Amino acid sequence: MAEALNGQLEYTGTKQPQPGERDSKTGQLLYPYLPNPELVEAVNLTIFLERPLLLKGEPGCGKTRLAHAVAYELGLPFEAWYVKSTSRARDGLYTYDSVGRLRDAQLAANPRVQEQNLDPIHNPAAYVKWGPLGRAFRNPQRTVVLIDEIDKADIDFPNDLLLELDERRFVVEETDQEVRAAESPIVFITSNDEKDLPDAFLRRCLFHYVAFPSQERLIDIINALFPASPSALVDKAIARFLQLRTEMQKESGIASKRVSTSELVDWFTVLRHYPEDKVLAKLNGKLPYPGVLLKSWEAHQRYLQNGL
Amino acid sequence: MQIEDLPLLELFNRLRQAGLPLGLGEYQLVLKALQSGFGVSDRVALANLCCTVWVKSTEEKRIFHYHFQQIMNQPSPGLRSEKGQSTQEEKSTQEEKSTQEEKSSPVWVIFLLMGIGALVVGLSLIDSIQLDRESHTSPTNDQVSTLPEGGEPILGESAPDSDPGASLTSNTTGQASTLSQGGEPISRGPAPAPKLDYGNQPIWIMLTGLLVLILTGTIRYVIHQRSRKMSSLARTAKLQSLTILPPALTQHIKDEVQVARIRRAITTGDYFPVTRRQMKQSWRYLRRMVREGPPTELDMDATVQAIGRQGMMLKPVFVPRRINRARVILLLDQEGSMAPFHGLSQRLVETAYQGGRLTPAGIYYFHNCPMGHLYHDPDHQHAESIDQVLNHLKTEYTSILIFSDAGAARSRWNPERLRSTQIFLNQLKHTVRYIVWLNPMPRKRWSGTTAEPISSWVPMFELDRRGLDTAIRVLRGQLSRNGETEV
Repeated sequence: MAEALNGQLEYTGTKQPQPGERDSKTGQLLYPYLPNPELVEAVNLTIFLERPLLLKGEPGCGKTRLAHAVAYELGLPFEAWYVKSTSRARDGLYTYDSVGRLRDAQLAANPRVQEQNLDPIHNPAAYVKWGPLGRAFRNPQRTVVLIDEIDKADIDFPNDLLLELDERRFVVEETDQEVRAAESPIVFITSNDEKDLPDAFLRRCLFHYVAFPSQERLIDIINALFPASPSALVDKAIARFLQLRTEMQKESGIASKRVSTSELVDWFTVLRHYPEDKVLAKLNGKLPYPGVLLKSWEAHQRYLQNGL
Repeated sequence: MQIEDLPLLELFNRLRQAGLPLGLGEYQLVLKALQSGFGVSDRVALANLCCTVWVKSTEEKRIFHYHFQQIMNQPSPGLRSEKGQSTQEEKSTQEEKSTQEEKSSPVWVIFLLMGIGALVVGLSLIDSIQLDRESHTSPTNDQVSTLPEGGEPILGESAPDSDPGASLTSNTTGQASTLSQGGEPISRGPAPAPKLDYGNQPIWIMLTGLLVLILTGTIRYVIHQRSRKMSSLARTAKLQSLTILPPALTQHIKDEVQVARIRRAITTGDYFPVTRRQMKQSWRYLRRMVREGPPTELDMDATVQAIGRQGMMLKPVFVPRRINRARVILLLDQEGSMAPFHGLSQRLVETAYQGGRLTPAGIYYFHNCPMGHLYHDPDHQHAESIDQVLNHLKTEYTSILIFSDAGAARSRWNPERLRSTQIFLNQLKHTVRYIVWLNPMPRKRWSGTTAEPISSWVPMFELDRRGLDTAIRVLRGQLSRNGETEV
């Protein structure tokens, strides 16, 4: 593949941040991300074909983290758009501060306001506030954009984004300004499958189902997140975790919530705080710190009473 | 492996037929990626590439892998890995021959022996004088006489020889195999059996001499075939050690028959008149946009007007967002005559859920006709009285969709059912404005059954694409009950 991507960006999934490294802009802690080879291939296809990548998978399996990891490895700017139930497609492109403009127009009628404070009133474009996608389009550098949990919005939301994602341009209606993407952004879209996405939208996306990591990969992940953890503890904790997970799978079918990678990480954080021998002894008995893993009363009853 | 040789177009077409939302652009994307070196390393990489571009859900992924396996396992140039491509095909054809020979030759021998035995007994009764000569010749006689009855040679491709003896064997073996599989061969038309004229001795002697010749020829041919088979078996054994994939062909053919059946089921989906996708599309139209909730959206016109009235801007005017308040309650007839349509009603429920138009409390089940109670589960365990259900409705935006055959499936006229349906519908009409009835039976089957009068009380449509669309328009309040646009 390397020869195919000559002069192109290529994601390998191998460059990881150092423990404790913080994002230079937001100051947030950065974590390593270990993708499987299929996911790496899908990301490279996304970069090459310039289509958005739709990521689905169980909650907590690292859909959102991927975009961060790609931006980190490739050293590209990152824009995140966390969709809410009230989000509209236009919010991601720009918002127009009509109220501010109206207020300024009112102020202009007031003789006591200084002339220089009224500059923006002559420039309608000054009231445009760019959204994440708008900023990515305007950025001369290629940008990684994350549209998180797109299924939370109304079912029309994805359809309203078709033109923008397809042709990578949009028009600010208030000012008739057309924004064209200089470099097409690398778009990651995550969905929890709460609602079906429209076919027209799906057609334009690439798709990847983020699978639950294998036991070896889980061990790698824990070791990458917590270097210098005793291997006996890691193995034991992961074995216990997987046992719980298979048990959950068996009993409640596919529909209900199963323990996820992110919960494993939380759980392990707790376990690490205690002396190793103590924790190992606890892992042999009743599930320690169940509050981190079991999120419903039924689960508590089922998995604790059975002494699992 | 050449990109041009890959059966991508066939795969693409099959996936399209299976209902994946794909356009030409997606096909080109895969070609573009292939040309740039994606997915060319091996078969798994190719599958991953196509999967990423063409598949949009886990359900579709299963369909994809099924078709991918299918197409990539078909013997056609460019599919197999570069090495051992020709040897594999050669081997498979040889194996086909050998397995068929293996099957047919023992049967052939048994048949011959049986024929000899039967004819010996039969002819000994007819003519005892010529017994010593006849016993030798008559079996072949019978062999020939039954030959045309056996029908077409099945093994035509196995022996493309010009040797008459060989073609005869291929005939007989073919006949033998039909015998062994299906019992008695079906005779096609009158068999031109040679007449045995015992009075004309010289002709008879000539005839038997000829048949003896043919018989010896066949026996020699069989021996020859056997030795060939042995050598070819030895060769296949050698090849097997060389190549990795030995497709057992007899099994392969059987599998293919089964697979063809499965494929039909997958591509055309099923017999349902409305596909899942069409249902989802129809549900999307069910919308009643209402401004509701906290005022968050700026009402520009109202604000400007307010400024005009007040002379200055005191505060901007906000209005709530427009949200879709349309809700539907599904009442599903279960069991009895509706049993064949359970899959269909389940699909209705699923698509309505996914479209977000249905809350978990929005499904009720009944049997034949709701009488006093509706049930939360298909097994009729959790009952709730109809009054209670209706009291909890937010009736303003809620509509009701009933899915039942109304007695049309079994062509019944049940006055009791009719009366209780009428009572129930009247009860509904007091609280809910829009009610619609979907009938899985076609309209022409309604007449003479209880469905006919019921369809005059509520708008009733058959469950196909058009019927569903119309039903949804009724639920939105766009159509009056008799299907005409409301003014």
